[in-house]
Amino acid sequence: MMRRVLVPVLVVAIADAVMLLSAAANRAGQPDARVTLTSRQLVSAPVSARNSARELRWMNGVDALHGVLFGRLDAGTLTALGFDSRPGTRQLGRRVFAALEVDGARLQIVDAALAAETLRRSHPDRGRYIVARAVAYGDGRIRALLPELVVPRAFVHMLDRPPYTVTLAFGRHYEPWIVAIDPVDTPAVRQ
Amino acid sequence: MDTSEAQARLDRIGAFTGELAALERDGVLSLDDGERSALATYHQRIVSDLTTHFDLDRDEAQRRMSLGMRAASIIGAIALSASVYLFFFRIWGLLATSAQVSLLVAAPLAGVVLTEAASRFDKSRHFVLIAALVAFACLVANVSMIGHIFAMTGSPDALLVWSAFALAIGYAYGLRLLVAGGLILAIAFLAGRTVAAAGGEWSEAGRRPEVWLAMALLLLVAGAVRSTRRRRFASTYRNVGLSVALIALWILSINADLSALRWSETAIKATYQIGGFVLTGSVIMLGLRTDWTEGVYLGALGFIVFLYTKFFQWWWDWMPAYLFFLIVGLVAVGMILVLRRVRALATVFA
Repeated sequence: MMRRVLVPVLVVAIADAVMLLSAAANRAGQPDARVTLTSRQLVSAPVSARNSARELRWMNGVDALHGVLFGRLDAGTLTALGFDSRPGTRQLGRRVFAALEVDGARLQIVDAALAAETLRRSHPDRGRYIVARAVAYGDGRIRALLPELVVPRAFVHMLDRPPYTVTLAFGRHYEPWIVAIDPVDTPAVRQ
Repeated sequence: MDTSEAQARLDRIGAFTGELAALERDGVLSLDDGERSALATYHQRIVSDLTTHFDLDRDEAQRRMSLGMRAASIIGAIALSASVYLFFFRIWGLLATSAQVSLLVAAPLAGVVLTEAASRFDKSRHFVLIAALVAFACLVANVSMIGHIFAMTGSPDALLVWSAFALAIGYAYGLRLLVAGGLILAIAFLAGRTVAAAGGEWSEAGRRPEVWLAMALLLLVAGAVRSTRRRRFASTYRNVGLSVALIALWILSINADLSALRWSETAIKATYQIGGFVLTGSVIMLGLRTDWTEGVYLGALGFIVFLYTKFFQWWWDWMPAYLFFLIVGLVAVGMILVLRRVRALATVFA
């Protein structure tokens, strides 16, 4: 009996331990980037009677179907990412890193490389450039893998009072988490 | 001895008893009272032993009811898993992150305990199957939702976890469906890792059928090797390997863009079409020789799909539709005649 139960229990225990340690390692130490985004860039997902959690979706230039940020790469960058430029080659997308510039209302992919460190050296401003995992394609498309963010309970009440700003940190594994959600001081409407 | 072997023994006893009665009725064979009594006592003892330890079907009616119960188990397991998912989604927003994670960790563990408890009182194993499938669904929710809560980047390692769990619980409780699911997930994991190791995006492994074709053929060979340690699941290995291999070959035979080979489109399609016909033909022959019934069915189904796909590619664009379907129908009639001939030959050589 013990052997029958032990193996599946061990699988669950090991898998969860690895995942939780990975999440903790991502958030340990200084974050790789810390940026503030607006409620236009990160919008609250529709509230559903069947889903009690609140989530934030990336909106600026985002493909609504896949929830990811798209961009374009030039031929030189594609070659640097390992793509074969010869015509007729059948290539799969490649897992790369993308640098995203946060500039006011703008959020766009500005660079890509195989190593995150390379991007961080080229874009050292950690309050303006996010380094995130991405998938690049041989035709020049690139999509940043920016998942929906589950809003911790402490910040949920802020979502019902837009506009707001969301402060995100990106950790050692380039995975984001919500640090704060703050109200925006809107100027009084002039008569 | 497992349930299928016990059922086979019970079936043999039933067939022997029926045939003995027919022989005695026709006056071909006659046992004296002592022999008949000894035989009946011996069979009664075996049947009693088998039915004490296993939930077996004693006749065709019971066999049909068992099939119905198995289908009901799967539907029940899907419904219960959906219920668990929907309940979690309904309440998780009310919980702190630590409570969400605790619930997600506890769910598959509770599923494992439930499966063990079900195995103790349910000889038929229908409730074991339901509990095991719900436990598996809880683990899928566990990994995907913890990944979602912490905004983790997708990785093929989730497939490895699901595969290991499905195989562990499938082997422990003798559940073929879980073993088959675990093998399919293992193929997906290895394909994803192989594509990632080559620099590709792992989630695009589905667009490289050659990668999973190789894994599927390995599985097929592993299931065909007689010395496989766990022979009770050898047919599951063969069936999963064959099914995945046939799907990969079929996709490659109609879409050369998914091939990693740097050949012309025509060469790629022709190669995999020939590969499909060779594999299906070989499997039908092997299945007939070794009593691998599912292999014969899957091989015949694959052969028909490859053949009709070829017909479609050759003729659909220029041939009148009524003529196309006439040829398809005539080919079906021809295949029935050929298979009848093959069956007759198999009977002669048996």
